[in-house]
Amino acid sequence: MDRRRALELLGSLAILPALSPSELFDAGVRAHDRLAAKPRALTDAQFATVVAAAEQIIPRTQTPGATDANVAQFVDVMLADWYSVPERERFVAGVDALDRRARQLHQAPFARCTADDQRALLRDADAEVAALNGTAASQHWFATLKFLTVWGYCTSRLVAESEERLTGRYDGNAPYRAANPS
Amino acid sequence: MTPLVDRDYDAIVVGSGISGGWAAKELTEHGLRTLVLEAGRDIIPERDYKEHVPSWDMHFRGLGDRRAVERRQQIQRHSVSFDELSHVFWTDDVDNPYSTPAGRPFDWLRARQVGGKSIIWGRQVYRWSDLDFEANLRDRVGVDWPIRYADIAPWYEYVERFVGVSGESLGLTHLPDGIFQPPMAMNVVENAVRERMRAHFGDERLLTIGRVAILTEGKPGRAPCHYCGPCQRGCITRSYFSSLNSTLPAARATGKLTLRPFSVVHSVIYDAKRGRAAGVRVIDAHTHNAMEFRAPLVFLNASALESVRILLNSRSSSFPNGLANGSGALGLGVMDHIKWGGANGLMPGWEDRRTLGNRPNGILVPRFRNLGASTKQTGFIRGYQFQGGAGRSGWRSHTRDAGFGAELKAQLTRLGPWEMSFGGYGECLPNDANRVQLHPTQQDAWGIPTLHITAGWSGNELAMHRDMSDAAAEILEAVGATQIEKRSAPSVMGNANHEMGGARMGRDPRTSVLNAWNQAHEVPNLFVTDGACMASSSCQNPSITYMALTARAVDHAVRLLKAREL
Repeated sequence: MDRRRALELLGSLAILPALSPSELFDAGVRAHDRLAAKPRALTDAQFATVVAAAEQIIPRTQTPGATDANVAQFVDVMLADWYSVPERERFVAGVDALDRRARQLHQAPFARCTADDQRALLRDADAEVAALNGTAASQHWFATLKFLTVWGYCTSRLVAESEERLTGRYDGNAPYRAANPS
Repeated sequence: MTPLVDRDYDAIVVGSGISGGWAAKELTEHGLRTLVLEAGRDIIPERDYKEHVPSWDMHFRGLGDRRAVERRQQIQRHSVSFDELSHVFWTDDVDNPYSTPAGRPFDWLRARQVGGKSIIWGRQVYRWSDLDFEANLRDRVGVDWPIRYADIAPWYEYVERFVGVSGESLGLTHLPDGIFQPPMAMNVVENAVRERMRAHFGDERLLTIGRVAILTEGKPGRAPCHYCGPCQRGCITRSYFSSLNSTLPAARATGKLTLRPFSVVHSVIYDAKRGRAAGVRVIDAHTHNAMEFRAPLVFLNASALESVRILLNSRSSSFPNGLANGSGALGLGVMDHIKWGGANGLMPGWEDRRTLGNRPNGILVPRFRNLGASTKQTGFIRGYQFQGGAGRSGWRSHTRDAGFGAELKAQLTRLGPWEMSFGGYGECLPNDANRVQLHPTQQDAWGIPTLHITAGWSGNELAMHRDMSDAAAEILEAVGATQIEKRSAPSVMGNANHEMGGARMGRDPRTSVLNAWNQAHEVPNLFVTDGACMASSSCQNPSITYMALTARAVDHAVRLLKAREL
């Protein structure tokens, strides 16, 4: 989806269909294909898992989702250039474990599971984070994925461009209406 | 190493930051051929300013190059102005080391480039008053300032007219009004807090918009602020004051300025026969070659602790403990503002209002403690001011939320409740136990002895810090805030980046380094007009005072030169 189209969608009531698992997988492949080079920190399989998991964290609804915003590429950059080796290994081990669990329960890689099955698997991961406190919680691989997904999504051009647009002035009393959940 | 003797100048200025830029402008406009020596690189705004780079064009999307920062900028990263793009305006901690005693950290936040810290400063501008200039005498602490407000007031006016300061006049004696452009706007909640404070506290605790060196009306070559936000990354429209944007171009326009980047000043050369400074020794930052530059007038504007370091390193048989240090006061009385006391709370209401645009400024609550008998405190002397503001949180507060999916996504687009915060800046007493010395063995990348900094808060600052949190919570309660949270830990000394002192002004050559004109008592053609000269710290941001003192000192130096009294 090009940026102009995405922005139109952000501002319109047009309803985007949620991505089906196969579309999602294909989207992951396409996102992967758009990379200038192969992922630097993740294997192709891990990358596909991250694409699918990130899309469940921020799904495409009436507005673009994590896949549309190329969040997985940002995750890969951060793993390659920002996190320490132990942090990266902890994250990758978590992604691998998620995929193993998917194969165990559903005889398919996580990225090929149904959306319901993916959400159920991620709810388990989220519950593991919720059971922890402080640093232990923030260092859990799923907390890292959620943090990177939210950060990468909200700072993507697709999402941030309207918010960061310069108006040339300061209005300290502008109208605001919260968007409806969608 | 054979020192090169370069051509002569009428004056040398060491440092091109906020005070060095003023020295350069004033000296050149008086017709003096002036050499400005800058330790760091040249800055070309068109190339080096990054304030309009959007988040998606940053490699780390604003999270910064963590590995590089952990390797090279472990200290500098503590600055509130340090970010993924502005980090290039802070020094490299590996090349520029310093030491502190175990368990007594000090954040020495430094900038080496043309423009110095004026590129990354906080831009808050507050005149000091006689509440400050008389404080040491009144309290019998430190040494008495050799000047009073009347001495500096015309110079505040002089520099404000050139700088461009936006703000609101309040008519307070202890926070004198200046020459102001129209103030920046307060937002809807800040206005409400101001009215409720007025209803509850009367005139005792006021709230106003910050007085800030950012234009709200254009000046020649400079456009009014367009509210993009991250001033610390530069300002291509020259809307905020920096030496790079303002004073250095003015100096260049005279045709009298020579600016030499990559010139690390090692020491001041002393001519014992004449009892005068003869020039400076410089290490070329690239070649590491030593050289000398000579001039009949030397201004040190390297930043407070750097100027002290240069003087301490200027040792001769006449001054074995550092130039102009017959008093032994050189290096003593280092100060900073104590921060992080205060509180924040939620302001219920205004859910249908938001802010648009990024205002690079906040609110100010002028000092309200120890102004007189009725506000006298038992726990501490002096006082503090609050800076802060109201705003609504956005998606950044949801990166650790439980849950995921459409619900989380919707949450990211919703603004949080209004939150009002007050953060204190407290006066630090001049205390000779807070001092800098040359390290006996450690050297920087250019072979110059580094500083050993021994400093910490005294009981007075810590008591003041506790009061900040109590008083902020009291205000928040009075204006109807909920979920009020007091802050507890004080800032690490130095972190306010308002380091002052070390070569204080004073009346008595036996207890101070500089006289009422920022002139070294013992070396008449040597002036120090950066933060090193300060005899007390007030609670108000100090930069405009450095600027006014610099312009005043140049005026005096030029008069002495003309009268052949230097």
